[in-house]
Amino acid sequence: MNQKTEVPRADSPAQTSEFSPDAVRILVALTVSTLILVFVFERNVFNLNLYGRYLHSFIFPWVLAGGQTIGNGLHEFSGETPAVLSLAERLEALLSLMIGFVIGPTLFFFGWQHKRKERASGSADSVLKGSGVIFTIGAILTFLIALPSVPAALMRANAEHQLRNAQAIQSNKDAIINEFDVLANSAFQFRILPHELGGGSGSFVGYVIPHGMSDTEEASYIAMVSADTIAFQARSAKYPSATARCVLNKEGNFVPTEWRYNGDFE
Amino acid sequence: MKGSKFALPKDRLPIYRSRSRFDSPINQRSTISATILRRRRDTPAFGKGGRMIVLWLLTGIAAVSVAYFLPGNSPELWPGLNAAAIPLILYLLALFFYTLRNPITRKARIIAWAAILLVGAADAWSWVGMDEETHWQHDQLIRIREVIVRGIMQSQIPDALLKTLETYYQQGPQKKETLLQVFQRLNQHVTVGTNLHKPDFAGDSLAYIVRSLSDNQIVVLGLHTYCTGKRADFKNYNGLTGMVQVKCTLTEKGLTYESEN
Repeated sequence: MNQKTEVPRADSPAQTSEFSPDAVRILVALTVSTLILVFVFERNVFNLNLYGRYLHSFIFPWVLAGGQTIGNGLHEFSGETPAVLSLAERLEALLSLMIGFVIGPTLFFFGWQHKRKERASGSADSVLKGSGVIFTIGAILTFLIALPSVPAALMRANAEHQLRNAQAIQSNKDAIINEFDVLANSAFQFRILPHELGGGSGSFVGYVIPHGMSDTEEASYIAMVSADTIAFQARSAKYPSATARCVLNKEGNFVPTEWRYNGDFE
Repeated sequence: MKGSKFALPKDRLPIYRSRSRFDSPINQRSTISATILRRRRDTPAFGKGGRMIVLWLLTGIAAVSVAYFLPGNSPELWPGLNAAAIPLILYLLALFFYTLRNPITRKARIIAWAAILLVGAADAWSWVGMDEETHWQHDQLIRIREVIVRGIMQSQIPDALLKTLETYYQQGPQKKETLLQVFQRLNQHVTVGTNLHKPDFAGDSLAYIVRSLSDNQIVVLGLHTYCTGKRADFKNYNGLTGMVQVKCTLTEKGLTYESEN
């Protein structure tokens, strides 16, 4: 497309700065109104929780897509096969993309250019004109997307970092709990088996954590043995300040009140 | 107004160019400034400029929509969104290059491009980051499910078998019952194929199947109907493929626990 640039008329005023007092006033008003809109919806002022969530998803289509992916994960977690999306669900994301990233910028940048041409030709500005309305609508849509972009990107990255860190700690904790189970089975079996088969003949005394289980990828373990109870203590291999402790009774069950987590596991 | 005693003669009626109530009749142009008339004639709001906006909008909407629907339907929005991103970026670049020109001042153009790059980079970072993060979370959910299922199996299957071993050795040196007899007494005459797991809730997908029984060896398999294991091509005992399966073997010497998939 070849643009035809209008030649300013000889009687038109000389080209002035784009940031004239009027333009600055309009931009400030738009920024403030957009920020108020974002604040009202994002911060759930006036109990607009549903609308807030909807707006946040709606202005950023990737939030909508991300929510769908996690929803699918939850379905799969429960053994359900995620359903193929309905046309309405797909259109919702497309509409979000269109309004925020096609219609808004197109109206705003064409409106801006048009207003600048008008000013160059000496016409009076008026927001009641068609071009003024287009510019205003485009500006609201564009600013609604543009203003929260940088803070939203930073917040998302921060949330992701925290989530991954928390998940890594929780995975390590889960793995240690599973390894406590293995140790508990080993210790209880020792208690059951007779001396001649390498057991404790009804006692935990003499139990030693089997080779290869005292130091794993997840943690290092020690056992504190008495005749009828055995306490296991784990120190995480990945988070050295994190420890876990449990106690096994003579029936081979963990004592529920004796579970202890310290450091990053708290 | 026709027939009214207040009606003006026909040649005195005001003539309006448009239906806007803000407009003045053109035969009363002596009251209208020449500047406003020129503006209306040269830069109509929905004239040539309006047609150009509509053309751009239709092009953008068509290009993005076609790309969005190209990957076909799936349970996810990402394939469509990612496909639409390419024409969207091209469209926006073309739009910015087309509109950010004269008569927009150089200073304004520089500021606009800086803002576009900042917002574009932030949005691209959010988009790609959200795609990666949510798929990672999806994979984590599946992994957590596997950890939970394996943890439950590891806790529950040995419990039942170690109870048998404990009872067996409580007989003292002179054994009246074999390991199998003790196991069948404690578990109500189980046979090969019996499911030892009592469902904790409707739709519980765990199963502890007795695989083989002999006087001195009991083998129990732990199975799950939808939790996937390490190998996707593993043939499960219950006819499924790729699901978690563990094997517990009890002998007089003790218990061995093995993850088969």
